[in-house]
Amino acid sequence: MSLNISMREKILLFVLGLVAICFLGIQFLIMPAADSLGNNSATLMQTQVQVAQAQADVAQAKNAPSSLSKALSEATQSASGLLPSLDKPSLHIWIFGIAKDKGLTVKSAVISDPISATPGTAISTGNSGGGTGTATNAAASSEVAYNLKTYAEAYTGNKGNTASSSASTSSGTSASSSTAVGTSGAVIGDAMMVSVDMEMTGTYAQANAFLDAVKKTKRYVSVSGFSYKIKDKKLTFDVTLQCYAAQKLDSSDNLFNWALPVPSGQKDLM
Amino acid sequence: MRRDINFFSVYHSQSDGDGANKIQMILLSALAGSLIIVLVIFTVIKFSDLAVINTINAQNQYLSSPTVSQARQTLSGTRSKLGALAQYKQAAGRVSYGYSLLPQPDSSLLTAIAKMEPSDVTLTSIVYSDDVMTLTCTCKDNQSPAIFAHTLDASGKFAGVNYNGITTGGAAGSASTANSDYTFTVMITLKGGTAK
Repeated sequence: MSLNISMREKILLFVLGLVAICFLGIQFLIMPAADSLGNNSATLMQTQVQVAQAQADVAQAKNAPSSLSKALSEATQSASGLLPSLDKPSLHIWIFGIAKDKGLTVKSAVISDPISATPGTAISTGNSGGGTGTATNAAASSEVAYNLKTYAEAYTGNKGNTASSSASTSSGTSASSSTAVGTSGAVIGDAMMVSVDMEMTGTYAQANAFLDAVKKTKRYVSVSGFSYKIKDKKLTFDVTLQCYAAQKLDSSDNLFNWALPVPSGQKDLM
Repeated sequence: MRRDINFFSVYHSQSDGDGANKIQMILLSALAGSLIIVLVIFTVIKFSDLAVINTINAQNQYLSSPTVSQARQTLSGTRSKLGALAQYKQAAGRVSYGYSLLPQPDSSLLTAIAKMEPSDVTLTSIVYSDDVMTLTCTCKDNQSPAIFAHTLDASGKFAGVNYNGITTGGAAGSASTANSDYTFTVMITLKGGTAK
């Protein structure tokens, strides 16, 4: 059966076909594909940004050890004046060694328990009450909370990073501004401090030499008090030293690196 | 009678059979061409899309690669360590600054004081505490305390110099008691400290 269609109808069919092809093609083929292309192009741009960031991260990661090493060196250098610990036996031997080296005879020494402090300020929150009892042992010192310990532990990863959360608002140049870290929000010092009261005998020159020797150590050991007195034609030299210490970032500070002799022991205690 | 309005009367010529076939061919070709154009456009877009998807996949593969994740882990650890180090340095700086404020009495300070001491003055004790050095002295001349204190003050080396006059007689128990007529005490506040 032949379909007899006039030219005019053919032209109408052509127009209809053209419109249908264009409409359907655009609607169901081109538009979805273009949408998909647009979305994927946007995704591509995002991933390109992420890739650029990742490439920068990879490049930075390659330099991380050197930047970390530099920062560690600077931080270690900034704390070089602090004693590596306030371990009482170590402190005892070190200070007595200086006195002995200068010819002074130590008659008595009282080493206080460590407290949290910053030089030039009166901050102290020592858990031991800052008592000035005679040396007991070094255990108490490890429990004193102070900023440098917190930050050192945050660096070494030994404890939770409370340092980063405090975000250090202090200026760094103000001696009286200490950031509160720790649990109760109490203001604590940056370092820990032990006070050593010594009574020595010797000559005036030896006492002066002791003061100079303490200063020459380049350590944060402050002579907070002293007195020269003549007793029985002998000079009695009393001195109070404030020794500042902090947890160091590495073990490079070997000031107290000596081995105490092992006692030979005795049969009975008394 | 015509069935409808004759818009295309020119195409209704019965004697134009060959021409009609030509036109019919042209129209069909045009339809096919338009179809092809649509398909070509679709294909081009689709291929572009596939290329974009491939690129995204490649980039995602890179982003999830061990190199990147390891680098990010390293960076994260480094950043937290750098933060802790910066805070450590800052706190150490505060300690250093605070320590620098403290006076550091040494032999040179005592020697400097000795150089300002009048010849008849004898020190019986030196006591230093809380940035203040207290010198207990004996002397023979009653003007010596004033001269000594003034010299110390005028030197500009100290934050403050103070004394509370003199008392007759040497300090009790001192070796110089017998030879001295007066006792006095000079308080010197050292510079650089947190003097109250």
